[in-house]
Amino acid sequence: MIITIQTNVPPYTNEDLDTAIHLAEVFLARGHKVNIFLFADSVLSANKFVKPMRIDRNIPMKLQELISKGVEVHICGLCAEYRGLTEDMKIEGSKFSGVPEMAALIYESDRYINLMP
Amino acid sequence: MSPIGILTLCHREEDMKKVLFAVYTSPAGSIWINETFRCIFGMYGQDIEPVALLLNEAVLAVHKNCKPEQCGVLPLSITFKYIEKYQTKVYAVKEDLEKYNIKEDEIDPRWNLQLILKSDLAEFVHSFDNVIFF
Repeated sequence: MIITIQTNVPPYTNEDLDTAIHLAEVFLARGHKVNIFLFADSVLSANKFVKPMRIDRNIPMKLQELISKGVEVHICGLCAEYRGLTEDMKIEGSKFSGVPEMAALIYESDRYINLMP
Repeated sequence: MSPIGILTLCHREEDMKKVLFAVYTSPAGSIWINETFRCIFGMYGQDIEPVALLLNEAVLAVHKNCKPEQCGVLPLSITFKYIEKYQTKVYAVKEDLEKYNIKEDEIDPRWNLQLILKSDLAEFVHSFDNVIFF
């Protein structure tokens, strides 16, 4: 099954990214193809320069680990531009895309999960 | 149209996915109504047939006097030209409009709004392939 998870809110205010990451890990373990679409403020979770406290989780790094396991991480390019997230700041393997790519993911996914608080 | 064109059209209509974008958040205080419509407008030409549904506090957006720009934030009116261009179907829950005392003659006609009863929502929602909440 192809499963896409869309997130919308900031990674260190809400915990939707944590939910998305946990879901993605479970889906991967069960053999599904997983995509994550970062929309609006959630694009900030692709910023590799975040510096969380040592006891806290490093969300961009967790996303990068997922990428290395085959998860596609899409970043809404317009949302990123709006928030000053540039190519050199984003985690390796993630890609800037946009609403047309979101449409394609909605179209091809068997399940499309949009996380909103 | 050529027979092949007709066949392609039939095939494409069958392949279209109907997606409901349901937004429940207030038009002032969050960006989600604008972002919902940005998503909707980006769906056209992508084998997706998008429809908007305003419910709960989001119905406040349709009032003629709802102008978030007066608080210095993004206006809702930027969506109107695309609603008209794409003839986007926009629904609002009738009971939610009543809850906020919005009369039919107070609705901005540029929303191209159709009202839906709460009792019809379940069947309406089930008529879509995907429902995405904002």
